[in-house]
Amino acid sequence: MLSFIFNRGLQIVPVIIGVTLATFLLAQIIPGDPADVLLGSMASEEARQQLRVALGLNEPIYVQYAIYLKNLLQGDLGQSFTFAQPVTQVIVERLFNTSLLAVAAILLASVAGVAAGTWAALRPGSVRDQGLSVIVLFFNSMPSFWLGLVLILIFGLHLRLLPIGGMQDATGSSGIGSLVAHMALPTITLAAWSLAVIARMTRSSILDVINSDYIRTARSRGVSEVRIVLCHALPNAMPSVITVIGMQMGFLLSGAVLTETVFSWPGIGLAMYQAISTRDIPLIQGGILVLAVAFVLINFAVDILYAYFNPKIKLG
Amino acid sequence: MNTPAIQLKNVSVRFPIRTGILRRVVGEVHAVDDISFEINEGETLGLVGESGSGKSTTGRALMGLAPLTAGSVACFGRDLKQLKLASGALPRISQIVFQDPYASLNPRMTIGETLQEVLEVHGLAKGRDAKQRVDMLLDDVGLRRDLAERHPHALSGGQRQRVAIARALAIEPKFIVLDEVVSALDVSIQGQIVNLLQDLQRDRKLTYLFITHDLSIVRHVSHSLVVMYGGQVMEKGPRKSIFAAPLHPYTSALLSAVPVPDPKIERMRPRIDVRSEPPNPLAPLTGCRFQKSCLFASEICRSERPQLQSIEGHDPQHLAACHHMREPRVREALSRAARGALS
Amino acid sequence: MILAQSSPLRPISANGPVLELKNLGVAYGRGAASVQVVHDVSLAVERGEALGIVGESGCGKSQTMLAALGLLPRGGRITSGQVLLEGQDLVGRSPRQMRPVRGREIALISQDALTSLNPAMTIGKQMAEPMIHYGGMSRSAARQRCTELLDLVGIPGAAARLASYPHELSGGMRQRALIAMAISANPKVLIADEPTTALDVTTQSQILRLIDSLRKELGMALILITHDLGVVAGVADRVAVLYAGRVVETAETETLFAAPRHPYTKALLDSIARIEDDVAERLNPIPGLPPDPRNPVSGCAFHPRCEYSREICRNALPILEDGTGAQHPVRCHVDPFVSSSLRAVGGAR
Ligand SMILES: Nc1ncnc2c1ncn2[C@@H]1O[C@H](COP(=O)(O)OP(=O)(O)OP(=O)(O)O)[C@@H](O)[C@H]1O
Ligand SMILES: Nc1ncnc2c1ncn2[C@@H]1O[C@H](COP(=O)(O)OP(=O)(O)OP(=O)(O)O)[C@@H](O)[C@H]1O
Ligand code: SF4
Ligand code: SF4
Ligand SMILES: [Mg+2]
Ligand SMILES: [Mg+2]
Repeated sequence: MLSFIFNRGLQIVPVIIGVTLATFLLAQIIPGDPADVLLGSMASEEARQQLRVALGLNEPIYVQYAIYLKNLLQGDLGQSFTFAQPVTQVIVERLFNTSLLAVAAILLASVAGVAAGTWAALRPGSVRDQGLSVIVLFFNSMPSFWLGLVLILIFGLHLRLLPIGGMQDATGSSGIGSLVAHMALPTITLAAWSLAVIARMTRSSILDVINSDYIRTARSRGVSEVRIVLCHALPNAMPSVITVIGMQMGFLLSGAVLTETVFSWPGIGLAMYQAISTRDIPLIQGGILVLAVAFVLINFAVDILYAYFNPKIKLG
Repeated sequence: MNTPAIQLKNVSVRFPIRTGILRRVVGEVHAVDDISFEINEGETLGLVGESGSGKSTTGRALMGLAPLTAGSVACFGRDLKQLKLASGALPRISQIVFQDPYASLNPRMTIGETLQEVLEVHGLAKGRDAKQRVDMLLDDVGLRRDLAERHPHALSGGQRQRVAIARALAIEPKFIVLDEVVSALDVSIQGQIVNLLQDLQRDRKLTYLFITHDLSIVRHVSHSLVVMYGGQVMEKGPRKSIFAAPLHPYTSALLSAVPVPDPKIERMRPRIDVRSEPPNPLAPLTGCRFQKSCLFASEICRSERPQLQSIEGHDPQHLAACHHMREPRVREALSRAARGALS
Repeated sequence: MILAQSSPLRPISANGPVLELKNLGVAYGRGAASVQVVHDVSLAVERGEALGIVGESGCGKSQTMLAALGLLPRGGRITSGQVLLEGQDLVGRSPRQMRPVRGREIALISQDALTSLNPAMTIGKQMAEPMIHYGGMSRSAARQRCTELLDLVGIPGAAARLASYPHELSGGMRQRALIAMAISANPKVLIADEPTTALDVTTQSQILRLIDSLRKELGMALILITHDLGVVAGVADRVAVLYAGRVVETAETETLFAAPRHPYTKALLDSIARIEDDVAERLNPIPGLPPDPRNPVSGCAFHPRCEYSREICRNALPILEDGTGAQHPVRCHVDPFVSSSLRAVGGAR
């Protein structure tokens, strides 16, 4: 298993190099002179030239890439003018907030999704099973920002149960309770779509597996139906469920951008949204890089989980 | 004496085992290890042995589908390597039919289209002409002509196997490798295919390599026999001589394990035990490959590889590789087991 | 069309059978799409007895046994009859009521050994599961028992093998592990569905002898399903021959092989390649194909392939009857003609 993790880890390196190359080139192909963007169009030619030299913009492109990589390794992603802070600092501050939201959402989606799917699979064709199908369809056909707005309307404005934006109360009493209250709506909004997909996948993979010969063996030995589903079918259905969860994590990252804007959640998504509207290229670059690397690492984690549930792969 | 149709000389096939991201070669599977045999034209050679003993690999090597690590193969007097270089030459001479014809037939094409395609690819017939040939091929393998319109999934196992045979025959080869062609079929249907193959052989002077683990079928179809174990030949020779008196302990164990459909015999006959320790093709043993499972194994069996030899009083073409096969106690035990199986 | 009810087999001894199927029918689908795959099958086994069930692929061997255990897959249902375990009918019991029967009273070695073990669970865990959760054993006691069982079925290094996953075992070892699981609760009836089809002859012979010796040691009744008459010859006391979902002949093994009364049984015996035949003679396959249950054949299902078929065979279903009273019932219209002289006439070689 360790060697599998190591081998799989090695394969990540070229991917991450590719990602840095892509974000680097992104800045190259965005029209407009970075010096213009940084200094504004009113700056003098001289000042621009100075900045160009300072940024290494006159060097050949591969030297620029090398500089970019060097800075990257030192944790320097450039300066964000929207926030008037180093990009790294902006991202690090906000990465935590985004992760908090994303992790909460994926946990909610996975746990509730697998549970709901399993529960439905225990009695295929029953009322509960059909009820689940309807809910799944409902969540899957509703855009997440719309769900967000509906939730704000119901819980925030109508019932006044939960706060509708921001991360914590501005007023002093910002305990954990306040954090949870602020998180509730964005987490549900972000998780809903994935939850539905995961539930559907869990249900259908369990039903696929349940026709296997080894399930018949377990039944023929008097194992109860609940144990069959939980201890025999679910572990064998997990590899495909985990693949879907992994894919959902990717969607979740992109979903976070939208959700954060709807709920003014101070995460990378909101920052990116602001960066795009002000053409803050270093911040866009940094944001994409961090999101892409996160995506790759998540897939790595998914692969390891996948191997854990599928003993045949461990040998490979 | 005329030259044999197919001749294998000291053939070995090894598959590299690769691991890691660099796909480093960390070892080799000794699938086939230094085997030699020949098949006379118009005859059938039965190739038997336990699962994983290298039977299919041998068959594939003969078709140029597995790389020869060592040794040479001659088909009708021509070297296999040359035949492979001349495009289309090898398939014209030899064809292969597999155990599971379903996997080798395109599910989206009708039977007629599959056969027609083969004819056209090899430039044997086109259009109308090809259609006629397809009808004739279906006649040859005993299928109704209207089955040409069907897809493989709408046929029974026996019918699919006939289609696979028809496809091999389409190119009019001289030699066919039959890899477990009846193993998946019901006993009641097996005979239909075996009889068909024998009729075709008689009419067209076809040469067969018949790979199977079913010794009863081999006994019906083959003129000579090769018994493999752990990638090597344990015993080979004319069918009659081997079935009359197997020389090798493994052959004998194999024979005594075949169930006989007669309760009186089946319950009484003695058996030779094979301890269940299949050979490991990754780390082949020195000495005799059968030593771990053999009742008669001794020191020399672990150190020296026995050579194929004949034995006085038997057909000189009947060879076996065993250090102890001449010893009276071994001969006694083997012939007792053989008598039990064959009485 | 005459549809006669077959008479259930009479119990052979005073003990009475452990397991008895009476007029069991199995169908798939409903309404117009309904396909009857097992018709009116009656069978019985006694304590310690070995019953062989023989027939071509698709004749309903597996479906009959799955029905007996209440394990028919989705879409399948029992349409008629009873499954009597020591006189108690199992048909219609809920899954909860069936659970104590499965594994403990009737155990199954299912058809495909290679896929019948859970790939995501170690052998030890799968074996021990019912012992711990339903047998009230402690973990260590269950472990002990599993090691003994693997030892018993001849898996070397049993204790270490408990931690193996199924893909780490060879086909023969997986088959042995399945047997060990099946006998783990000392069942009264062991159903072995094609236990050796996937194996080569030397392994096959070891497994058959293993099953047979376990039956004798543990006094189980054995139902051995196979399409290989050679396998049955060595193990079974009695044989039932199935054709197109119906029992067509039942007899003591020796009687059946020496003097088959049904034309299908005789044809089946004649079609086998026999290792003892000395010359490369032609085989005698049964012409044609086994019938497809979706297009049932009228009258006697064997009539399109039967060399003795007459007018009546096309129109009327023969009854399974024991005309001679010799515990040798047969389902054929022309049985008197067929009986005993058949093999002498057709089987001379
Ligand atoms: N392409 C391959 N790469 C690596 N190993 C291979 C390959 N093909 C076959 N082998 C190995 O070579 C050995 C011989 O295999 P082969 O298929 O020839 O056996 P066989 O006698 O036909 O067995 P069976 O009766 O099960 O078909 C086996 O150990 C197999 O795992
Ligand atoms: N799930 C299913 N749905 C519909 N028909 C089925 C199903 N399973 C089996 N059948 C049909 O029931 C018939 C009997 O099948 P069964 O599995 O009992 O055959 P068998 O005698 O065990 O054959 P084999 O030797 O191939 O295992 C076959 O015609 C088969 O097509
Ligand atoms: S050489 Fe030795 S081990 Fe090999 S078959 Fe002969 S007696 Fe057995
Ligand atoms: S009833 Fe007729 S068709 Fe059926 S087996 Fe008897 S003779 Fe043959
Ligand atoms: Mg093979
Ligand atoms: Mg079956």
